[in-house]
Amino acid sequence: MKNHSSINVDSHSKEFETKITNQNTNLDLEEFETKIIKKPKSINDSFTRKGGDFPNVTHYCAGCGHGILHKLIGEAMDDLDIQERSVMISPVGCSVFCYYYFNCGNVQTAHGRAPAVGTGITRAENNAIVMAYQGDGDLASIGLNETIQAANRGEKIAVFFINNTIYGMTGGQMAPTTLIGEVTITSQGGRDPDSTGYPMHMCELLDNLEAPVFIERVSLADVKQVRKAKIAIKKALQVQKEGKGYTFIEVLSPCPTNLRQDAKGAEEFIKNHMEKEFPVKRFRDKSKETKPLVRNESDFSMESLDKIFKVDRKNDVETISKTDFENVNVKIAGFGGQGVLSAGLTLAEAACSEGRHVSWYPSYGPEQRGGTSNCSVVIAGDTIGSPVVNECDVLIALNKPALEKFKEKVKEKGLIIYDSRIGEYKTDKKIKVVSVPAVDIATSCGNPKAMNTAILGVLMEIGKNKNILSKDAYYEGIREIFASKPKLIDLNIEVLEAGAKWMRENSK
Amino acid sequence: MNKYKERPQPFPVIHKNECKACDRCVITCKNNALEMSNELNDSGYNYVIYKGEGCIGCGNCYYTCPEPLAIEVHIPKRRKKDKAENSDNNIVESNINKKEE
Repeated sequence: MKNHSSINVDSHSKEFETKITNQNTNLDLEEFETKIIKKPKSINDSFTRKGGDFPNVTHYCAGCGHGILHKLIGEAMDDLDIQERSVMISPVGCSVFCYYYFNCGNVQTAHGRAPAVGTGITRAENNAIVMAYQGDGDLASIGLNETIQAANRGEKIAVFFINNTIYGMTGGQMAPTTLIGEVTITSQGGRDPDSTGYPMHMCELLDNLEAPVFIERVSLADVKQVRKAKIAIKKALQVQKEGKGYTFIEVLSPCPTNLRQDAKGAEEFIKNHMEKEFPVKRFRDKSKETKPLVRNESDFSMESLDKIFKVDRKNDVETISKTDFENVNVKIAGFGGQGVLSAGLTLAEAACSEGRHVSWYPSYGPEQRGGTSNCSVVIAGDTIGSPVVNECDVLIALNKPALEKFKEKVKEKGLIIYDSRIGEYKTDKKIKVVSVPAVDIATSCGNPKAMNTAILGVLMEIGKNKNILSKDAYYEGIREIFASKPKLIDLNIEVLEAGAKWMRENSK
Repeated sequence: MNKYKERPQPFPVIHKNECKACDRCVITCKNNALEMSNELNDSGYNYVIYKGEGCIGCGNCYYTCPEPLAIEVHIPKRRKKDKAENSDNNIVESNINKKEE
């Protein structure tokens, strides 16, 4: 017997080579070279990220399909030479720790959110090959909407959908893919379609969409199927390498632990039950006729962002910290559409131009107009901890409900300015109360919509000796807010001055 | 047959501590060349052993094994005179290509 005898080792070593060499001394071994079928280089040499005493073993159960699929994906990555470009998205499920095994980029996402995260990655990094590895609970249940939307947009993502008919990680509960009559711990009498519906066929579902390039269902039942799966995986990744769009591979995979099967039982279950319900076939291959998908490149340069957000870095205002400056808390409230939020913004921009620390914090209902809305502005001499204003120094109330709601929140020695149409309001507290015919003032300047600016004019006049905000600051605030509508700048400054003038004339 | 015996034979390398005794490779081996040991490895599983002969280097055990680091298949190949250096992946490649056809 010229064959070598012992083949089990703790770690692979040169010992073997020598053993064989010695045993075959009558052969000219120089003539031979050894080819080794072993794990691809896209799978880590050792799973040290896992920790524990056995860093070369996966965390998966005996006979689990994940390890097989990992290997196949890794091989396809090697074959196509795309390891450096690859980003794997780990799901929630048993394969949550994909990053232990794949030697490539990785993002771990929330349950079912791989399509959304994948979309972000592929759009930001056009050259990235994005792979979403998801189970049936993750993809077909919790992330179903996002999966369909991403497929419909034809995102450049290779989805690997592992279907084992149950929620594996949590202990074998019924999943959308559970077969009719299949017993799981949450369908003890077998899945009954009358109460829990039918198994979800994801390939068939996505095959109704226009955008996907490649859709195939494969199986890991036996080694013949495993090798077929490898071909499909490689095809899908080839589509990604060429940047052609969305690919979807459903993998029928064994879960021997939760389904209480041995290797033979798992094979039979996949072949005789799963493959009957979920036919293994190629649903679509448009890879030949599809052209690479080229999307406009996103421009994240500082210049372009500055342009979008209208940031002027040349005339940068330096924020000055003055710890002796007492915070001014302002609440502006009224109907939506009355200019509540923009009055707050004007005030915030004004304070900003003076180098103050400032925050603007809106709060409004779902309605565009007619609902109540309010905003809080904090003007401070130092960093602002919270933009929330509970007690305010200044309340600007543009309607009665707003006045009723916030009047108790005004501090002693505070200020309430309200639209005179609300009617008379008096308080026993030491609070200055001013009723302003704001609409009349604004109308007299030809723009009744600018009633909020008229009230800011009143505020400017009252505060002129308090060294909080200068007149120039108010002007600057208006210029900033109406920068995109230059016609309105002068008009609003006119209303602002008219408000101030009204206050001067009526202050005694 | 004689000629077959005279060349070095392919064989699997099984890292016993990586084996979880799932039995997939034993079932899948065409030549029935693998069996489950009665002994336990360091993690407490039985583990697969090579019977010592029968391996034809098909790689089925490697492909069906759920543990990426548990099995390697070593296949001696006659060195080609002109193309001495070949990468390991070519075998896998050729296997797959055959299937694809």
